[in-house]
Amino acid sequence: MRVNNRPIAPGLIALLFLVFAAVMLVTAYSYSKASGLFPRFIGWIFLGLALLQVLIQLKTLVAAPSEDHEASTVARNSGQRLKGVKGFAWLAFMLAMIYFAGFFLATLVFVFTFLWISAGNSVAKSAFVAAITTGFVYVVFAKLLSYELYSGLLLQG
Amino acid sequence: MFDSLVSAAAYLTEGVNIWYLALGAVVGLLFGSIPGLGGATAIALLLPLTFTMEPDQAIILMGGIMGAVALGGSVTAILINTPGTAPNAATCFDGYPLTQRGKAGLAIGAAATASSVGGIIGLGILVLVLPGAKAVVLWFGPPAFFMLAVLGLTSLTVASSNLLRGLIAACVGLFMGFVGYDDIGGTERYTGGIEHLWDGLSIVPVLIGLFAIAEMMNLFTRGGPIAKRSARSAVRVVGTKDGVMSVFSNPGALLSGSVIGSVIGVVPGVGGTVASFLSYSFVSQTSKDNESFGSGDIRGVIAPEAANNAKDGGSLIPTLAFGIPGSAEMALFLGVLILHGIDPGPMLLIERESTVILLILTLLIATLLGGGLILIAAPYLARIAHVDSSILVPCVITVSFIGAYALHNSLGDVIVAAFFGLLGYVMIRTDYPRITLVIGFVLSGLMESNFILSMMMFRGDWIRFLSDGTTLILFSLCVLALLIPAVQYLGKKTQNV
Repeated sequence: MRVNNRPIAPGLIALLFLVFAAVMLVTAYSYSKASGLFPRFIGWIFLGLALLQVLIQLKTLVAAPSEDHEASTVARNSGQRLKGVKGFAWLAFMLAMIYFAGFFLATLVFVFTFLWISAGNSVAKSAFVAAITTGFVYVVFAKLLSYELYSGLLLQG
Repeated sequence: MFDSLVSAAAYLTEGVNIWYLALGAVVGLLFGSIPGLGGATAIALLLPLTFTMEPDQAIILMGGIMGAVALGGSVTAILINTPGTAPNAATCFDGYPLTQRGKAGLAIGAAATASSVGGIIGLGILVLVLPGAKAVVLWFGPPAFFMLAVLGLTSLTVASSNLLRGLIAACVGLFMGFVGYDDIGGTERYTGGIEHLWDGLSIVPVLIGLFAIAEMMNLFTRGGPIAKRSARSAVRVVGTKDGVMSVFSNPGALLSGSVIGSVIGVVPGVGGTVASFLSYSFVSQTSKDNESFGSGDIRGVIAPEAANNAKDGGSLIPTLAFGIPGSAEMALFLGVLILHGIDPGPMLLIERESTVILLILTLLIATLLGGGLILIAAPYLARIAHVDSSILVPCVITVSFIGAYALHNSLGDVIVAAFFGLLGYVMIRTDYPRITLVIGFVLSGLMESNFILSMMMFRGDWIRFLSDGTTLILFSLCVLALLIPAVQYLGKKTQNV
C-alpha cells in the first residue's frame, strides 16, 4: 500500500510504536509509586518521541513523490515484502513443527523443505544438508552438551 | 595484578580451556568473513554452548570470538572488495587495489600484523587505564551512574544512523527490561498475565532473536550468495612475509591507527567503523607522499586495521568499569557475564580482577592466533563469503531456536526468540537501530535502581539531580551529544541555501 508512490510501512511502524508507548504509559500508572515511577518517566519521553516520528512520517507521506521512488524501486520493495511474509511463514512453520514434533524432527523437516521448496535445491542436496544439520544438533546439543531437547507433543506419548 | 596475570595464564592453558579459545577464534574468523553476520551474531549463536561451562570458560570462548572477528572481515575486504564487518570497509580503499595489482599477500600480511599489533596496543592502554578507572568508579554515586547510563545510551543513539529512531528503539529496550517481577516495588509489570514472563525476559532469546534470527530473515529476503562472485575470488596469496615487515617499516600508520582506535573505543557507540575511517583519513592526510592512497598504499591497510582491533581495548573500559557496553558485541558480552552470575559494573574491577585479566589475556591470544590463522587460511575465508544464503538460513535458524530453548528448557523462550527475530527484522527494514534497543534492555535494571536511589536521596526533588558536579558534567555531555546532529543538520541546510 502506498501514498504518493511512497511506502507506508515506516509510517505504520511509527504508529505502532506510538500505540505501544501509550499502552506502556497508561499501564505504568496502574502500578504502585515505587514500581511505576521510572516507567512513567520513560513512558512520557517515549510517547513524545513516537509522536514526533509519526508526524515526520505523515509529512513524508503527503509530500510530493521524488525521483528516487521510481517503478523499479517499487517493484523491488514489493518483491522483498513478499519474501518477508514468506520468511515469517517459514518461522511459523518451524515453531509449529517444534511444538508438535520436537527439535530433531523439526530440524530435519524444516531444513529439508526450506532448501527444497524455498531455495529450489535438488532433493538429494536438500536431504544431505538436512541430515548433516540434524546430526550436528544431535551430536553437539544432545550428546556433547547433554541438553534435554523437547521431543514434541505428538512424540511424548 | 601480576598474581592475577599468572593465575589467568595458568587457567587459560588448563584442560580444554585453550581449545575453547581456539574454537572462539576460528568461529570469530568465519563469522567475520561472512558479510552481514559478524561478531554479534557469532556471540548470540554460541551463547547457548556456554550454559554448562564455568563462567571463566565462557569468557574465554567469547573473548576468542571478539579477538578474531575483525580479522576475518579484513580478508574479504582485501580479496573480494566486500568488507566482512562494517569497520573493515576502510580497508577496501587500498586493500583491494593491492589485490588487483597482484599484491594480495602483501595486504593480507599487513592486515594480520597491524590488527594483532593494534590489538596488543589497545589492550596495553586498557591495562594502563584500568587502575585509574577503579578509583573513578568508587567516586561515582547513584545519580552519576544513572546519568552515565543515559550518556551511554545517548552517545550510542547519536552514533546510529537515525537519532529519533535510535531513541525510540532505546525506549522500547528499556520497557522490555521492565517486564517481570519488580524487586523495588514488589509488583508484577508488563507480563500480560503470562506466567513465563514473571521472571522477566531472558537476555539469551532476546539477543538470539534480534541478531541471529533477524539477520537470517534479512538474508532470506535478499537472497543469493552473500557476497557477489568476482573474477578475483580464487586469487593467490603470496608475499605475506613482506606484508608483515611492511607494518614495522610504517610505524606512523600503525601507532596513529592504534591510538585513534583506543581513544574512539572508549566512547560508547562510536565503535570500529568511525575508528577505522578516522585513522584512514588521518594517515592519508598527514603522510608524506600521500598521492598513492586509494590506489594500493599499504599504509591505507595498516592504519584502519590497527584502529579496528585497538578499539576493543578501549571499549572494554566502559563495559567493565561501568557496565555500559560500547558496542553490540560488548552488549552481548555483558549478557554472557550476567548469564553466568557475574555482575558487570563497578565491583567487577575490584572483586574479580582475575576475571578481567583473563579476558584481556584471551583477547590478546585470540588476536595473535587470528592473525596467524588468516595468513594460512585467507583464500579459503574469501570463498566462505560466497556461500549461498539459502543453505545458511535454515541451519542458523534451527540452531538459534535450540539455543533459545536450552537455557531454561522452555518453549516460551523459543517464542520470545521468534518474536524478537521478527521485531529485529522489521527494525532492519525500517532503519531502526537494534543496538540501542539491546543496550536499553541491558541497562534498564541499572538505570532504574540508580534512578530510584537518587530520587530517595533527593527526596523526590528532580532539580537536585544536577546539584552534583559529576552528574552535571555528564548531563552536559548528554545535551552536547544530542545537539551535535542538530548543528550538523542546520549547517547542511545553510550550505544548501
